[in-house]
Amino acid sequence: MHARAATALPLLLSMLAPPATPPPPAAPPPAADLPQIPFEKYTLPNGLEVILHEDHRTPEVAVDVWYKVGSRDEAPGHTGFAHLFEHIMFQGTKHIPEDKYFAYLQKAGASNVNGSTATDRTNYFEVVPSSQLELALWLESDRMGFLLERPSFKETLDNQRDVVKNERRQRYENRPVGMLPEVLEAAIYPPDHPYHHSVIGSMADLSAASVEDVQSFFRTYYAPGNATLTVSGDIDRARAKELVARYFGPIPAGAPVVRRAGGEVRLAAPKRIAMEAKIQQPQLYVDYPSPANFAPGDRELDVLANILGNGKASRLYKRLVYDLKIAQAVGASQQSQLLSSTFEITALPMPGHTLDEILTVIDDEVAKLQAAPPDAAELDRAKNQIESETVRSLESVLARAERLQSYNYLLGDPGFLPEDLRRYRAVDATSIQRYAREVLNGNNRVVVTVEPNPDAPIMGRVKK
Amino acid sequence: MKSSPLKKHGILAGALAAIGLACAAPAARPAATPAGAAAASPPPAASAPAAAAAPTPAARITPDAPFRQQPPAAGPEQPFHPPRWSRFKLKNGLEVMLVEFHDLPLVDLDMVVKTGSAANPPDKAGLADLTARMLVEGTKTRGALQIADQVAALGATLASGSTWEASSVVLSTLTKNLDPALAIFADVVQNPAFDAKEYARVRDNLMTAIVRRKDSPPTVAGLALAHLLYGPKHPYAWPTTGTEASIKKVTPADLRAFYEANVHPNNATLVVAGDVTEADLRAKLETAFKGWRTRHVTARKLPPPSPPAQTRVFLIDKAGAPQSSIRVGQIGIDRLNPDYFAVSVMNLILGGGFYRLDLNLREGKGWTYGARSSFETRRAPGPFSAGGEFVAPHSADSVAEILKEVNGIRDSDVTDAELARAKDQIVKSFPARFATRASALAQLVDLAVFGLPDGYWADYTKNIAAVTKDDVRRVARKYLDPAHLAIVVVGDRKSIEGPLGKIAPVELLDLDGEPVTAGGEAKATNKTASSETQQSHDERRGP
Repeated sequence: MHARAATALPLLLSMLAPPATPPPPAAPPPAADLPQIPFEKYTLPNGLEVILHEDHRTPEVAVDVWYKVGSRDEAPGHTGFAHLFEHIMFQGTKHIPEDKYFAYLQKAGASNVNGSTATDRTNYFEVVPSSQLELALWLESDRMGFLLERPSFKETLDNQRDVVKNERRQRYENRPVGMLPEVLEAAIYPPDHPYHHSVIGSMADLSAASVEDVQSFFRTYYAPGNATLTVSGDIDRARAKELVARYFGPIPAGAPVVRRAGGEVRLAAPKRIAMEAKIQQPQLYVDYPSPANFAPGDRELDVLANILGNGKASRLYKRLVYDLKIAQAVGASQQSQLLSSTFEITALPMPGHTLDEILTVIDDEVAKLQAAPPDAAELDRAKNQIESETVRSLESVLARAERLQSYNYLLGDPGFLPEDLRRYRAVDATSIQRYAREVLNGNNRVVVTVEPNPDAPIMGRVKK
Repeated sequence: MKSSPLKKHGILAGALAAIGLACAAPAARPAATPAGAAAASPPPAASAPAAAAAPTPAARITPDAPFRQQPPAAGPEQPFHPPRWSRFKLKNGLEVMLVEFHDLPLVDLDMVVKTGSAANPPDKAGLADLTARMLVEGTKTRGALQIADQVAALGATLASGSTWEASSVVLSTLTKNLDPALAIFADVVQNPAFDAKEYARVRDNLMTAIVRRKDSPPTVAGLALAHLLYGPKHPYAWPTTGTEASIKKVTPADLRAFYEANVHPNNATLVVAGDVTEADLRAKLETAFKGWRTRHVTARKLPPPSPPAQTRVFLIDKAGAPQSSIRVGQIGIDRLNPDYFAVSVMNLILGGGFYRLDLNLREGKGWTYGARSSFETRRAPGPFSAGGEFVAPHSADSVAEILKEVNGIRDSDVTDAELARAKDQIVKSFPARFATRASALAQLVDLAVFGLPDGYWADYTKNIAAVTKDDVRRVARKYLDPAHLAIVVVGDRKSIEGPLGKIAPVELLDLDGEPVTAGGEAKATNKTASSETQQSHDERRGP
């Protein structure tokens, strides 16, 4: 059975007006039918980038601060610190008592409050009624300007260290095959690469974190010149600018940040790692180091992942799950990151079938894409799915803020959305074949097998 | 485009490179946007990075100011009214609810059939969900893969399944593809094939996923709690997705019979949110559902539940587990209970993010990444549950502190500050419930499934605002009963059994929730329904 001819899928987003600032001169003008998120970007004298997006659909506003720091900035012996520090940011400042951060926001009617740490950035956000914009700016500016002037860090650091250790237990150690990401990171990235260690970090490094580390980390990375503030939603832009200047303007700039070096990784020879865990059924992971986010090949690999392993219309699903019935589930994804990415295929076998049976079929399907380009209908279908998924992801004021933030961080242009979509539309069938050959190459991969063993830990371990 | 470009590992979601703080609103995950990406061109391959030499950074002093001393006052509040929705009936009796959103060219349709997993016979848990799943696995004219291919080619999504009180088929499509997408949607609702070969594949696949539930301690704990609270004769005791034993018994004829008994326009509401007008939608639906006919639907009665006679600890061994999954529970309230609003406020103060349980067990003791409580409301009273994942050496201490908080909210009034914070949080965040298509759709589905009046959402904030301290205390005493709790602990038996025994008598269960004898063998009793004791609504914590 084959897909019927795919419908081309241009989008018309009448509501989203053209951006307040023009697209970068280097890029060709985007097609008129591509969605845009209108915005205004400017920089305060202290270096803080500010992005405003006005949207009056609902009386709410998202305040979203990105700091350009993540686990990749951690030196050996300090793993997990960027994330531990993120927790400390919620524990109070000179003007905000311990445990009041959430209380203020909840009483104000916040519908969403959180922070998250990744390899390359840390974010903090709250979605509040638009009448409470000033409260959110007060809170965010106080932890950017006055974090260190709170009474004492000792107790709160000890407490949050325990909380984070429990987070590590919950997300990794007491979770089926929870050690997998750390095994993969260590296998893919050399010891001196910034992605060699996990975001959560090791228990030993968490134990060693000191109050001096907190102070030094804050002074190095948590300065206006290393941050971007996005305010998205029901705002009056002039009033928002006034408030931003009042709360963030007086914070001193800070010194330029020196970063750890690290680039794209390719493996010269394949690796195979056998793990075992206290689980019922085996699992298979096939990881190919791949081009960094927005590097040549990255978008093509997104499309390739869709063709291979996204949903019931994908090649691997049809072969492994539908026809042969040797896998219970299969998926493929290009996991893009700033320095280097991973193209990952995962599969779970049906009882009575081995991981090697499945791997043989995966290799066969990859070989087919290396031998011949996908047909037009299949390519269109993948692009349609990617494009409509993007439109679905643009709805909430927080989602819009995050998208402006990420384009700004990665490319210096918050308004890159239409150009990004244009690049997906431009992916052609032969380029899919080309990157299948270049990246999904048998030498450039790590295969991890996980077999059940009732005596192994839940999180799994590498077999001796 | 990367909807979630932060690094995630595959279908098992083994890891997240972005780590959230586990905050208040459980519905709100950390937004995932591109975390990676090189500006322009990335550096060439591999090697030679050096740790940044960290110069001692200088202190930066931000000048203080009077306006920073106190939280700023709120600005003028913007009035908010839930968006208007319309309700109309097709000629065949199908009720339609529509809320229009024209800012994005998208339409979501949710066919809500008002019979769900609560209608499963106790020995055929999973029947409703399997019936719903099979709708998209082939019709009289479209094969399973044809449906998948056609939906994907349109850039649409189509999913089906059942909750406790409803079965649904959900379509999301671009407005311009509404006609072809609606044709597929109407076909799967009206003409399912229930093909035996396709069913064997779906069932075997599901069976394999069910076996894997035993791997995750939180899942095992949640499913065991449901089984203990309701007893094997009650459908709520079993997971909506069924058990190994129960889905073995479900035949294609069962699916057909369940479908014929329940999936009719008079037992359904089609809820629509998005970029379409009433006149346009009505015309399209009359065509798409022209042949669908009304038929009699029999309402089912639930048997009485059989909860434990007194508070006990039920321990499930996961040798060597670094954390214990703890669920303290009992049967709570149904969705139409007049105390719903007071219970919502009470539960938020007890177990909302950064309220009592969290402040004590996370922020105070540091024993957990998050301690929460929830009342799951259904047509019949659903479970109350309080707990989380706690560091193994403090398992019994954690149970004791949870019990202390449960007793605390019964034994004395909440403070004015707690009450105001909780009520304000619910009332002032109300507009967010209608901020997106998906969230607005969910509010209308809630009305449809439980038969709530059209004015329900208009009055919602008033009802929350009216809750008093006395109400909170009253419903805490009424619905939290420390003498009749099931305390489920999944963890390292060797190190935690002794201390747990000082709290209440300990009964050992196996991974399927069945009693274990002193010798460690599962008893041959209580196997009538199935050996599984799992229920799938475990992860929904908090209000």
